[in-house]
Amino acid sequence: MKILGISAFYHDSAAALVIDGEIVAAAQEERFTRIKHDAAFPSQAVRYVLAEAGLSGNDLDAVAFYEKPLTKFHRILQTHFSVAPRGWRSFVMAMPLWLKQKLWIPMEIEAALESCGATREIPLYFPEHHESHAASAFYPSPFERAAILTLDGVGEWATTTIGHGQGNDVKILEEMRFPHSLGLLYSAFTYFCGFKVNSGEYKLMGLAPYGEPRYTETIYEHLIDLKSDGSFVLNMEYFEYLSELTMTGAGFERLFGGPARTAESELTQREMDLARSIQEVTEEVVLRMARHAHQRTGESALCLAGGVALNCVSNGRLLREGPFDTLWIQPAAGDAGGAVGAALCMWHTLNDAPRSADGIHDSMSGAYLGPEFSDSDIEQFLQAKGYPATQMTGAEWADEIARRVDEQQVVGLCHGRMEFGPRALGNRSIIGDARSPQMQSVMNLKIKYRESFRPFAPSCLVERVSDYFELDEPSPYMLLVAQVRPDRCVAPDESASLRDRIHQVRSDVPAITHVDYSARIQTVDRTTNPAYYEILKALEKRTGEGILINTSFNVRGEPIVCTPEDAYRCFMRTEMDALVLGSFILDKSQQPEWDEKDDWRNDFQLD
Amino acid sequence: MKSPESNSSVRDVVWPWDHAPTAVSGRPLWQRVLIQMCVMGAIAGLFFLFDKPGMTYFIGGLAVIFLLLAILAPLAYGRKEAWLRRFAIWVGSALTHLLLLPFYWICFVPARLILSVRRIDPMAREFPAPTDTCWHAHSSRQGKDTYKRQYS
Repeated sequence: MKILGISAFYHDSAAALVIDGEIVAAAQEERFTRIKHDAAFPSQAVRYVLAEAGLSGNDLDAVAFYEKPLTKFHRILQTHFSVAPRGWRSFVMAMPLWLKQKLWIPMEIEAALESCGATREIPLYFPEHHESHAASAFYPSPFERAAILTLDGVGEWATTTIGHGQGNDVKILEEMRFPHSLGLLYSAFTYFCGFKVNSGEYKLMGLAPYGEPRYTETIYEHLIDLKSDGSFVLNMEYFEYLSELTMTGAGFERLFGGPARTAESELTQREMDLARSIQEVTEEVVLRMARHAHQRTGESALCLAGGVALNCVSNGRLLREGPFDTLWIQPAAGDAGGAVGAALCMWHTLNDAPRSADGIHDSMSGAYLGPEFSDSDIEQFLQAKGYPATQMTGAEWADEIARRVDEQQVVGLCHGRMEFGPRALGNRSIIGDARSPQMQSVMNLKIKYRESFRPFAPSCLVERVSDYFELDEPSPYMLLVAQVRPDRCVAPDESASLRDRIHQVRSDVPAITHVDYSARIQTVDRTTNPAYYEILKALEKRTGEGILINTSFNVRGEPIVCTPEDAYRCFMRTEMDALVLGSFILDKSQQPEWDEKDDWRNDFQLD
Repeated sequence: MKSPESNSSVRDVVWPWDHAPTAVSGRPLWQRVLIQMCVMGAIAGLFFLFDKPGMTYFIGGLAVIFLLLAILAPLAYGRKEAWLRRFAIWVGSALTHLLLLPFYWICFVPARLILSVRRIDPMAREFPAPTDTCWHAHSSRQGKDTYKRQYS
């Protein structure tokens, strides 16, 4: 049975194809349209996933949309009934889109399938938003049975759910309802600290270690009534998202001593303290919820999904201090993953299809579910464009990349299948030497053109993870944060300013050691990504260290690159030294001059 | 490093770098001009019927200018069309707002008053929460057919 899963119309639209329970392909629309977090109907992603399997629209047996649009519309109308007349601005803004598009989703899907050759009606299904998240968390997980926790901004009405998965069955047991949402609470602080909602949350997480939890008590006292079982209500007097186009208002400003930070202005200690405070509150809420889920289900394993599950600091603490022995987090935990979840949900529900789980391996194929391009395709492109490149294979290829990294070069990697989800896991990545004290600054300012406080994540050989970090289990999706081992760390200079603290050497792998000595870890194993593993092995052979910096292959505001052409463009626009396209290695110094008429930075809206 | 086989259908969909860019779909220029002339002619005809010669000449004159523009300077005609399209979107958006605003005040404000009088808050905003827990039981699904519905 061939099922197409679709998520769309909020942010990070995506399509996924499941054939007989196997996830064959999945991709976010942004990668094709080159519009970050593109929320439009994922027409190009649908065309891609069908092409990957060699199918036309007619070959599909079912289409699953990741939420129930009319229930969501009901929630929006109820919200406006509750806040009138204050909500007229957001009503007038939201309604045209609903009337024009969101209420006609079956028609949108039919039109997209027609453009892919469908001439008959394909049955259409609508699981609930959090059911899709729960399915995306449990079905691909390695567990036969597990508790499931889904946390995000909001779906239809639910903002958080606790569920139970066993065999091929997922049951949602309890939920918390809008407007009381951990995702929206975190987004409110993201907004107040001058970052973009639904995009800048991970920046707030990265900023938190620079601050002190000075506002934690204020948050508990005024903003959130947190119960012992992790459930809570928010004090809506301080939030504006019910009625206005902003997240916070005057009440928030009074509480935290001044107006919200404007985007791109200087970060002050207040924002750092706010970031740290809300991070601590978030971790406490998640821990309490997890304890409640543990009590409710009696399971020893936990599956996580929803946007809040991308908070890897909280995930790391949950693993260390939580009641569960083991965790599995959907790598595309945000709304994009809903496409996978919706399709898997319908596969198991419609067919009562059995599911096998070995307790070790998940079925996400390392999240490498996007398009890949053959060497012959790349060679044709390079020859036609006149871009000089050297072809290498096997050990020679990995050795050459390792040599360049060892020589402090910054290398772009575009090979194999593109990753699904927000993280680049070695196939659409920029890599560099983790031992270099300068590499964080070089990458932030000359390659990524982004804020200098932001940390970089390491990729390391799975068998050596405990040599570097206080972690002794795989983290293949870069969704766990752990501390760098103390014997590798250097004592901090507490009196230094923020600018100085960023540039302090904190360990013998300084480029990936955050200011609080933590790191967001990706472990790499030979089975899931042999090519990337070989690069790390070659580096280990050369330097003794099987670790490097891995950051997504894009610049600030740009979606991660998809095609070799996207990669080449990004390579030439930045100060990267070398580019790997499949088995071809391109040296910047040998490339023809890159000439663009306009300033390419205008192509991307800063996130 | 093993190279995959070329999947031409994926490459054609995702990375058609060697294909000529697909022509923007739409009617050819002469058809667009003809339609515009017909519409403007009809409007001018209506003004003539209602005995408004001034407006008839104005609309007719505009139609002639557009026709000459299309023949002599097709690029300028294209720019005019783009500008008119933007103007039409602006007018449509303004009209939508004008219609939605009274609708909001007529329907939503009285509904809010009724909810307030009856002390009903669908958003459950009481703070602190009056109960020991804020978890709600999830209503379980009733069979596969519920998945065919766009509502719970």
